Amino acid sequence: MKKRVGVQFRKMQKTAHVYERLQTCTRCHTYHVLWDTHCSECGREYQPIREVAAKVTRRYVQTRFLLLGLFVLLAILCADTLTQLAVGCAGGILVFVCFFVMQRKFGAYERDVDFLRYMTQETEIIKKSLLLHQEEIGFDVKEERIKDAYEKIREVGQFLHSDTIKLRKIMYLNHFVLRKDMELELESLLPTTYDKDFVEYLREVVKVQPQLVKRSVLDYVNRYKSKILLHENGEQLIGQIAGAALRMSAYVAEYQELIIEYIDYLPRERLLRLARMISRHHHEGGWERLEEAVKRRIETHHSFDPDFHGVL
Amino acid sequence: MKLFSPYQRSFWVRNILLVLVIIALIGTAYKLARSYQKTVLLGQAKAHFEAQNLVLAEAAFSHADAIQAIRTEDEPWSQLLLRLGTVRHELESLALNARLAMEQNEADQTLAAYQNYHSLQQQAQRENEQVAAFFQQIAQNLAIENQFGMYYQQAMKEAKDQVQASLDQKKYRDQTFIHTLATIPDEYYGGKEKKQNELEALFLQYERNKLRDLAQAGTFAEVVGSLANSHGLYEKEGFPTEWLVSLLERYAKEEINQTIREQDLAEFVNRAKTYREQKSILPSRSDVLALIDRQIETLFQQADQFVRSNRFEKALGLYQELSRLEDTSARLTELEKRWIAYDPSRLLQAQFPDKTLDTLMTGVDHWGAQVYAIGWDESDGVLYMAALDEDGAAVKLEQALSLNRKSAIFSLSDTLGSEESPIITVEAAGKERTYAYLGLVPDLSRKMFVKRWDLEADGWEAIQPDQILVKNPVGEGEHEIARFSLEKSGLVYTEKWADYLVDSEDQDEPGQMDEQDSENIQAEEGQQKDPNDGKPADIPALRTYDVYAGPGDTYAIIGRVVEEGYQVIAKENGWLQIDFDGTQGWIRPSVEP
Ligand SMILES: [Zn+2]
Repeated sequence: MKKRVGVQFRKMQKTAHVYERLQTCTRCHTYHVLWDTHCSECGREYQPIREVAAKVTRRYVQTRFLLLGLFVLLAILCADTLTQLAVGCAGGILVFVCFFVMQRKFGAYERDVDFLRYMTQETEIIKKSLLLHQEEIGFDVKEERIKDAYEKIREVGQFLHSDTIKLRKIMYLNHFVLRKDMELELESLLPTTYDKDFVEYLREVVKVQPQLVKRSVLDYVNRYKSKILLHENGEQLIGQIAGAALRMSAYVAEYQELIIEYIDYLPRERLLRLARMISRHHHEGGWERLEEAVKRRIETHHSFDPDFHGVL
Repeated sequence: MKLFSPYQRSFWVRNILLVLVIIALIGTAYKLARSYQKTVLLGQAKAHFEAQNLVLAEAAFSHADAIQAIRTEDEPWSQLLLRLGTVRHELESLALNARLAMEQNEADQTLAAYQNYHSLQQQAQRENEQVAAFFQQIAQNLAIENQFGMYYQQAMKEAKDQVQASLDQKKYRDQTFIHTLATIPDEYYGGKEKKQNELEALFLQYERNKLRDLAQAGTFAEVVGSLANSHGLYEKEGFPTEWLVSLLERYAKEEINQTIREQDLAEFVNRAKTYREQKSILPSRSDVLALIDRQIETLFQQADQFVRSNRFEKALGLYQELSRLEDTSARLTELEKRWIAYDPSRLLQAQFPDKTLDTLMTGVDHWGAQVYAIGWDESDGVLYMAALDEDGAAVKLEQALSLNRKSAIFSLSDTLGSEESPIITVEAAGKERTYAYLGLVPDLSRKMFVKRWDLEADGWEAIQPDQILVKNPVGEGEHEIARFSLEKSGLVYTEKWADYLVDSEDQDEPGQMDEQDSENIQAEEGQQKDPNDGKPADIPALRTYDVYAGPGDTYAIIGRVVEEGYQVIAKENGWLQIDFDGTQGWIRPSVEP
């Protein structure tokens, strides 16, 4: 195994929607998803895409008002008699007011629709910008700036969900010493197929942040357990995963088979927790086989452990 | 990659539109402001109109009307104001034109402006009261009438001063005042009639003085020309000219009558001609023209009288003078015809004007000539002939003759040749014999004299039209009295008629011998002969006189008469008019040797 380094990741911005992470340079017509605040090309400040889209929408509205105004003014200019002039003025004001009211009423909807359309229109450009980011990451890797590369790919990965990205993330993460206080990810790294590096990463993550093990991870381990077993200490890894699944009774019920199978590899403290959970839930149905397996394990290995006395 | 992001595109679209809107806004603001201004002005115009203040109403309305930003409905009052506007414009431009014309002293343009002003005024008055009142007010504001008044009074004063100055200085070259005074409108004289009278009096005074002064210094032609010139000026101005014509007539009558009284024909013709040239300005029954016609008639009668009494030169002189007035060609032709008939030697003068010829003979109806004259120039030995042929065309012949010029005697044979084509015989001193004889016949068509014979002999005699007896001719028949016949080719020896006996003593007296011979011939032949004819060397017993065509030796000699062989018709300065061959001729018995 390679030598891992200890790092401190920069804090990731939390957003309600992924698009909120997109920033754009209005001059260069490029997009940016990283933490830079100013365009590297022109030095202009990046603007959130939502704001830019809103601005565009606002301009559309202004354009429409101007067009309308132009028509009204032309009508007035073309007026030949005083009557025509008065009609032109009055009609113009009326149309303007109507338009204004309508805009007030439906402007918000328009903004959303326009945003959607904007995004659709700009997809290609965004993709290109992301591609540029990837190239940058490649360059970072070459320069051995793995931390930067990871931080960047973590952001890019918010938009791209391909295995390639995931595997590259795992690759970068495997360079670091993982700690409890780190902002780590697991579920988002799940590749669609079996991956050795991911399993290795999983091993490290489970050690420091077992709470990241969710149903999808459990499913993945369950699906590829035969391959995981081929790893060094594969049984212990699966046992740890199973132990991590004990955080929620729902997982316990769902992944009984896995737990039963690798009960021997459960750490003592995990076994104790499982025994207590079973004692709390033994009046519910479906836990019998697990209870039996736990009882057997306790009897065989912890019969003299005072902590287990009276639990089951 | 799209060229523009939606952000940029929306920015530009909006800003371009913004600029357009701003432009439109400025335009609209201008239009609204102007429309408002127009409305206000129209309101003012209407208020003024209702208050009967047309001048202010029209001013406001014309300002409003100049604003094109908006159109307003035509209403009766606004239509009237519109019409008033054109009235004002017309008056303003008229006032401007008039002022310019006055400043540059252009009388015609000023008059045009004046007339235009009055036609506009009449038009306005015809239209309606309001327009007329408005017209008057504007005209007053522009002081149009005042300006015209000042200008014309000034012009009138200047013109009258000019008249007076002309009269005082007796210089009549500059007559521009006629035009000036005529173009000053009637009203400044106090009416058409007054203008007429005043100007007529003024002009009459002027012209009368002018006539008097000119008549003293200038010729008739100058005076008449000057008056005619003035007439033209007056007529151009449309001013009546009867007074001027009568002035002219009176003057001309006096002047022409004077020439008639003084019988100064040349001056009469001059003046008549000058006066007749002014016929276009004269009345159709001009006394003077009638006088001229009468005088010309009298002169013609006089000339005709001269012709009838064969005083052709006088008649010719008259005709030539009168030819400047009347066509006298027919009369001259007639004169010439009669003169030639009377004195054919004129033909010679006419045909050979640079020769002074002795007229040998004249006659009629010979050789195809109506009338002819034959002359001889002894100095160059040329025989000249001038004639009128059957068609009346002039023909001239000239031919040099080689003979002893001094002694040449020409005569027309009444024996030889025919009645219509007699032969001219020439007798001169010969070289080998006493005489040289020449026979000539003029041929008008070939314009030459045809020589029938040319021989030398001691004498000769024509016995028949084609038979001649020749004494001792050179050549054939020498020492004979030979008989020759006249053939086409010339004289042909026929036979010996008698022996010719030469008397050496009598060599120098051919005449005597001739007489003897002819007596012999007469005796032998028993022929009746005129003693003068055929014996040119005969010395006449009586004196002969040349008969002239007129009383003077400048006239052509038309023949000869013997002493006391004529009848006297009249006497003049030592000349006798005689009856000669059925016509009249003149002789001077006292001078004749
Ligand atoms: Zn930029």
